[in-house]
Amino acid sequence: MVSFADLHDLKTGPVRAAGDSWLDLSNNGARLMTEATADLLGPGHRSGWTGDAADAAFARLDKVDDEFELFGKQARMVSVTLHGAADRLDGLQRQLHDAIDSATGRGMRVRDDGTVEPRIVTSAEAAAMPENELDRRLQRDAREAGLVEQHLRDLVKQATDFDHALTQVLNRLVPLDPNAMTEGEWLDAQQDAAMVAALFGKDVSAVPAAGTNPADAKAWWDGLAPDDRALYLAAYPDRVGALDGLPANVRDDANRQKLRDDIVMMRNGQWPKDVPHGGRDPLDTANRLLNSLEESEYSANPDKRLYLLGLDNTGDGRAIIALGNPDTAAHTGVLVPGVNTELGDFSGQVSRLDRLQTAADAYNNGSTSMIWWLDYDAPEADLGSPSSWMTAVGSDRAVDAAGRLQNFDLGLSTSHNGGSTDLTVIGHSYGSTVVGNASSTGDGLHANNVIVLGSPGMDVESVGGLKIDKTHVYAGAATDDPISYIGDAHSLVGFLGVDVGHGTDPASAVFGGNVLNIDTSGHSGYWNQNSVSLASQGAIIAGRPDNASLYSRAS
Amino acid sequence: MLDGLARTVRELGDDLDTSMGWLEPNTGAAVSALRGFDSANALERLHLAWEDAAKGFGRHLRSMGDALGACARDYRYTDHAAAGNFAGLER
Repeated sequence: MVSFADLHDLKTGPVRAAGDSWLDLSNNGARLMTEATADLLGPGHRSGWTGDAADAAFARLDKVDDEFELFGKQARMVSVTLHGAADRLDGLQRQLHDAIDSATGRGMRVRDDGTVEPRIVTSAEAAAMPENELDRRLQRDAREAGLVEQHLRDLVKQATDFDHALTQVLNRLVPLDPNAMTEGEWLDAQQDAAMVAALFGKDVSAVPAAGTNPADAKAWWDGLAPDDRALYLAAYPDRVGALDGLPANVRDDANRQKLRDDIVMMRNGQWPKDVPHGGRDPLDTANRLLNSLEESEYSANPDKRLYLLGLDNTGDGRAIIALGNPDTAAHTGVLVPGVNTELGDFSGQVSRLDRLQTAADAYNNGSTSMIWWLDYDAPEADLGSPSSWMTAVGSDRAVDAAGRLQNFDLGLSTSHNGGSTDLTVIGHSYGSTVVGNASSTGDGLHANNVIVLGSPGMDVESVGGLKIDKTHVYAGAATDDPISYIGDAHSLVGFLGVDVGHGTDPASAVFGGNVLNIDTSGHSGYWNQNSVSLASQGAIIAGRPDNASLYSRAS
Repeated sequence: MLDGLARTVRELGDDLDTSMGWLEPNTGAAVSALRGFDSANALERLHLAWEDAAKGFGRHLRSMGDALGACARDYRYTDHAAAGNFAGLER
């Protein structure tokens, strides 16, 4: 139990200095993680070393950067705790000293044990007072001294309570297993951080909700002290990782933590048993995603690093994955996928990003970031089950997704180091319907260019319905792409008596935008290597639209 | 290449040991400053547990360095031995 003298004489400077030392240790952990990736794992994986020995070695080496990362994060929480403790105890001690000074100034005497003697009435004062007045005065002074003493006791009690809570937190910040990093430590670290946050009253409600205007989210983040940033990021990664407008590396950090937490919960049987429509095991998908994210760090080319900008492992799963940092890229492309896409499909989608990035980089020597945006529940359509096509025919999911896509795109400009980015949004299949809804409602998409491919329609009758100049709208459809015929079928609405499409086919001249030459086949060939279709998208993304091959210009 | 990886991973272990040394003066001073507070003991235990964990991790890294170095040595030995076998062939 803390005594009056303990609080009175406490020196918080050393506690704060210890917090600084743990911060240095944390920063060094982060540096060693970077070195492990750049000087150990990257060269090792790129060396071509294979075989049983290589497999056995990499099974251990691949954990080294993770261990340093976790080491750094946990040390950061010790630092935050000590800094916060110094501040809290400083505050209580200041109140204690102020109360003592005030009491002393009023003639009271505070003893070393915190008890308070009333003001002394001198014999001269007493002699000058009427008899009743002296009694009243003595009683009043005794009452005042009692109140001061109680106040001092309350402050010591607060220090004791805080000391008790601080002790519990420090006991939690001990590594789980001193001999090896276990997978459960990631979730444990997040829970520890939440406990630190609770100690200092940093509630999750302070974190802006997903969908907050990016400028407001950025203002909140920029206004936080470094310790508070570290704390909110570690304690509430699911909330921080969902905020448009925050730096890509912060969102990536948060969402990777969330991914690791989810993996631990899946392994522990703490995960909802809703199986994605594709039938994939969510744990398998989550593990593959984590492996892909980590492997991307081993590339010598920073533009090939993956950033996890959004994540939801429930249901079919959702994610926003960037290839290359969008905050530093000169050009950014956002690919919105369509029918039957779920999180488990990410690897094929990232391959498309890679091809698009390479195609764009052919025009501008690098600095292109490509993003896969699956922050919506893409419709399912089973060719063997005609009723399932109704979800793809309806616009509900596109309407629902539009606001999120708008906010995300706005956030890309907000968080960009240069203040804005050259942005091209590509909608494929039903993704083009999402893009159409986002482009035609509210403030639009905040994009420089829009490309739609294999589109069933954008839910507008002409390019004039989109809030973007028609010369910056591009559409393409392979001649044998069955989905793009849905847009054509819309013109038969009067004949069929039911609207089966999403507006005029944007790849038709009557729509009014640019029509791309497409030399690929089917619904999913638009990113085939060495195709004109791919090269044209690359040219538009790179800000060189004159190099795109057009069938007809916007009219 | 493997010798380079071995050197790097050993250096990471050494660097970790060095950085743990940064904690001692200020953490020890904080423990003293918190005299009378239960958290002083908790901080001391925390520090010791982290030192143990870091020592274990450092040892692990140096062991990996040794294993990589041994692997490189074995590859070289096998290569030399195989070269010798071919050189000894006569017709």
